[in-house]
Amino acid sequence: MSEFVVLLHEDPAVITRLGLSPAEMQAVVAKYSAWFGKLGATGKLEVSKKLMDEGGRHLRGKRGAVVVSDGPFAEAKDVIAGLFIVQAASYDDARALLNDCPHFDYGGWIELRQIDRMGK
Amino acid sequence: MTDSHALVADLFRHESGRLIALLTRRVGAKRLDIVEDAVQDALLAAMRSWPLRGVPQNQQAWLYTAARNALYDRLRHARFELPAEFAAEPSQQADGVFSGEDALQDDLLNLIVYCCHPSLSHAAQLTLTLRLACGLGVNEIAGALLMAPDSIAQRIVRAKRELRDLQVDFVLPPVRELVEQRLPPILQTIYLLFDAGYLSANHELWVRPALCEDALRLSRILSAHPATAQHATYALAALLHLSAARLPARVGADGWPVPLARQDRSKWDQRLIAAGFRYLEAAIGGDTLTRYHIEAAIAAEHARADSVETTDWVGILRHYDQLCGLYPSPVASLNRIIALRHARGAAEALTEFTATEGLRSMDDSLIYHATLGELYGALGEQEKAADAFHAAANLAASTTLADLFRGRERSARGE
Repeated sequence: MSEFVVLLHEDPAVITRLGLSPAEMQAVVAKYSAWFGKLGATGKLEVSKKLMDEGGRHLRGKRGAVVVSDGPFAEAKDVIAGLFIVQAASYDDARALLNDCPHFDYGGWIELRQIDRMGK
Repeated sequence: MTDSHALVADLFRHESGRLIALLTRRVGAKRLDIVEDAVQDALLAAMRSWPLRGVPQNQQAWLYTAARNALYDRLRHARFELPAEFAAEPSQQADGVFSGEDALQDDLLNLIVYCCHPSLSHAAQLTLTLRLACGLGVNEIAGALLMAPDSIAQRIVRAKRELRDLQVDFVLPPVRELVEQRLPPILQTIYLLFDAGYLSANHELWVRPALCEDALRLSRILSAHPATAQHATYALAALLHLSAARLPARVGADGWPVPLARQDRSKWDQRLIAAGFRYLEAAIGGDTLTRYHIEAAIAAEHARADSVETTDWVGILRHYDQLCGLYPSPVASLNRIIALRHARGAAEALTEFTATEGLRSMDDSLIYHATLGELYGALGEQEKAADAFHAAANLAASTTLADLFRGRERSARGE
């Protein structure tokens, strides 16, 4: 079994443009929570985290010093809203777990990355 | 996984109204648009966060804190002056202002009073109430009122602009003005709200039962609030509870609407009927007889009866005579014809049907042709009955209803 990081990407403008009603948003929560519950019950979900929305900080090394800048959020077209880690045998296997992920329901996209365990 | 709590039913819709009411009271009606955006921010934040972090235990407090912080940010960003209680940095915790039930009802009443301002048309009052107090989206309102979403959106923008131009504030008027001038349009709006949910035009839509629920809830809030607990309010609450009691029997197993005569009365909600009778009792004693009083009395006659045969149709006809005398309307006349048919027979009902001028204006409605079909059918005039059911089917707003009347047309034609 390998581990995969699932990075949840969003475009804030796309979500706003959808103009979801309160009931529609609650329906997303209900569906998404149930989906996570089901994934959790398989024992394949290791961790799930929501990230803060302020955009975080970008740190860069410059001539021996570290320069800090605010990550973009409001103007960004693509932000990582959260992440979770699943166990799967392969990319195909991991993809199958995510096929019906409600993250797609509100315009998000998913970046799937296998955790490197070479040499271990 | 974080432990996740069960989502409160209708939480987002109800909290939308409650938060808009609560926050608008604090920053004033001229900031209503910003408040709405802030509440939308909070709901979006919950939508994006709760699935990953688990649904919190105190969902209302979570949304309140998120909305308050979003409002703080938006006001500061727009360089608006911050009210005193916003001057401090936003909190991570719900502050003391987070209201109990009493304050909630004051706020909601405030919002409804605002939405039902007498300078707005009935249609605008209803639309604004659906949007702000009931937390419905433009498409959902359009579905409930059978209108185009663009017209609904326009109507909302215009109504809000009108209230802004008039500088209508977000405070409760003095009790006398509230009761005499502001309450009637509020009751009318709640009545229309229930109607939009009750009319069987679009059973496929979840919005419809939700509207009935909301109308009941608002009628209860107004009946419990000292400023609005008036005889007319009780009469409306009685009418809505007695009518809502029949909802479980109104849709058959096949999804088709079941007419009163064929409803399984054991499915009527006895709890709602009991509440309806309690409200009806409280409604008696005022010096005005509202249409809600009369319509509640009619609903009570149905609730009392075991079957159509044992219903006191003579009593119901008397109520309809009174209703048509005091509050004449084509719908009241048509319903009176139905009562007349049961009280004195189809022949007399058909004679009056054709003789009642006012009914003609309803010949573009389903119920007009459905009633005509019933009367012809009862008198053995099958061909005329079939034609009437055919017309009714063509006017049906849902395929379910259209199918129902096509079926009746076929059986009238002996097919």
